[in-house]
Amino acid sequence: MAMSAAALLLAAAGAWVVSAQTDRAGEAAPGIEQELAAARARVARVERTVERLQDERDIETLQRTYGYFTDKAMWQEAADLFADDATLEIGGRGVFVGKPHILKYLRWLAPKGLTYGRLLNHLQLQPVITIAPDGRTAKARWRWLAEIGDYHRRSLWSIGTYENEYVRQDGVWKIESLHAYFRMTTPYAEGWAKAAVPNTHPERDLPPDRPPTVIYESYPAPFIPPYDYPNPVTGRGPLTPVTR
Amino acid sequence: MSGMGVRASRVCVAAAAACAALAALCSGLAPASRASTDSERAIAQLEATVARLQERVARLDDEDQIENLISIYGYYLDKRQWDQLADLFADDGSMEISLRGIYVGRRSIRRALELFGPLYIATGYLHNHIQLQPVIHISSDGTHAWSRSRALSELGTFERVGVWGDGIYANEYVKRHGVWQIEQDHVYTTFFATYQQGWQDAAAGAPGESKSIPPDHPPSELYESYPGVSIPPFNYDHPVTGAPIEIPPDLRVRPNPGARP
Repeated sequence: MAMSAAALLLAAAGAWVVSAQTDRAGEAAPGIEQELAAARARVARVERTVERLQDERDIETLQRTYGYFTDKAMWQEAADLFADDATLEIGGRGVFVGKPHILKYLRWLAPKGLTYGRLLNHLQLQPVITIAPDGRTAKARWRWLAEIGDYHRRSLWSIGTYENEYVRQDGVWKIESLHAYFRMTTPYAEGWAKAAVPNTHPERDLPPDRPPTVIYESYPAPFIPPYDYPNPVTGRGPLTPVTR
Repeated sequence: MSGMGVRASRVCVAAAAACAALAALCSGLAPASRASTDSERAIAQLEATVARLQERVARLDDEDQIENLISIYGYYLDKRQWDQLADLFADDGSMEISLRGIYVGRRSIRRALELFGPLYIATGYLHNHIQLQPVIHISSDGTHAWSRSRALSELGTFERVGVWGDGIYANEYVKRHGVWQIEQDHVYTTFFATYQQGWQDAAAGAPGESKSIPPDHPPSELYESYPGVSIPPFNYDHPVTGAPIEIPPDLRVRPNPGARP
């Protein structure tokens, strides 16, 4: 929809400039300054739309790369995707503030990195990205599907929802806040009809900087992570439904 | 994102129309008047901005087309439409799947696709490769592209076996006569495992070279699939630091001594 509007604006800019030429042959029409100002304004609006589309692409690259790094326990590289003052909250372990603590959390998940027999696949899926009007921050709702494993010891499915925030610093998009809500974790063999792993809690050997922002239970309990965007058709919301 | 290609090309056309209109206005102005020189300069600036925008929109359109190409590849692959799939490759394109070696050129690729089953999906067979998580980069001149993406695979034969799989694509593309084609299709197998036991106990290794349809070249790299661990190389730089993405030495795929130079 934005691209059609951009096309119309550019065509209108062209049409306005052409009509200005026919006002008075042989010398610049007095209205040319206004015509130019109008054309400049239209082109500026198109430029902002193009910026926004590029920003969405950059955020997709950023979050999908987070997934590829997490797959392989590349924790330093993953932490470097965050802004210096960023926060991370995964499941119920509390909030970790600042890049050094985020790196500490990630390293805690697999201190020796990706060792033999470990599977940590986190597929990053289904993004809904909203860029702020000033183009400096953004929010996105994503989901993950994870295949977790330790060879001959355990295998798990995990699914959940991210509600993330991003910030643009010196032209580079970074993760400002990563908030992962655990929806369902189940051992592979039994599956989600028979077995579900509860949400995590703050760990004694990994104290968070702040307690969890919201207490919730994973499947089979219902919980709807709050939305950062309204209904795209009616404009109603964002909605934080009460969970029964 | 679907449909953006058409809209983006409409913006390109409109941008070209705007440029033409601006050029026409420029030529119609009296050169002697100072006001018209200022106007000419302002128009030139506007023209330059529109030209820059055209370039940016063209690169966005390129990304959209690569994403479509990846999805289209997946849909043909699912149904074993080998002729259609082979046609997505450039004349000099190559295909390297798991540790099966490298097939070069459309004819060789088409022949090799029979390794994955006969033409057209038949009763009782499942061959899904869900194409996901694409990270796409386009060269500044819009002629080359690179992607990292993955496939989540559901494979099987009814009443016989079901298999899960995950693989990482590190691909290259080339634009010839305005059309994007696959230059290099390179899949690194993360794991295969039967549905029954899953990856915990029934992980199978990456398939090797075929004797019936041997590759044109041996595999470019060697690695172990799960339960072994390795990291397929990244064909792009770290999105924040801008530095090349280094793989820890013990997790790198190993260059194959027998590979082509």
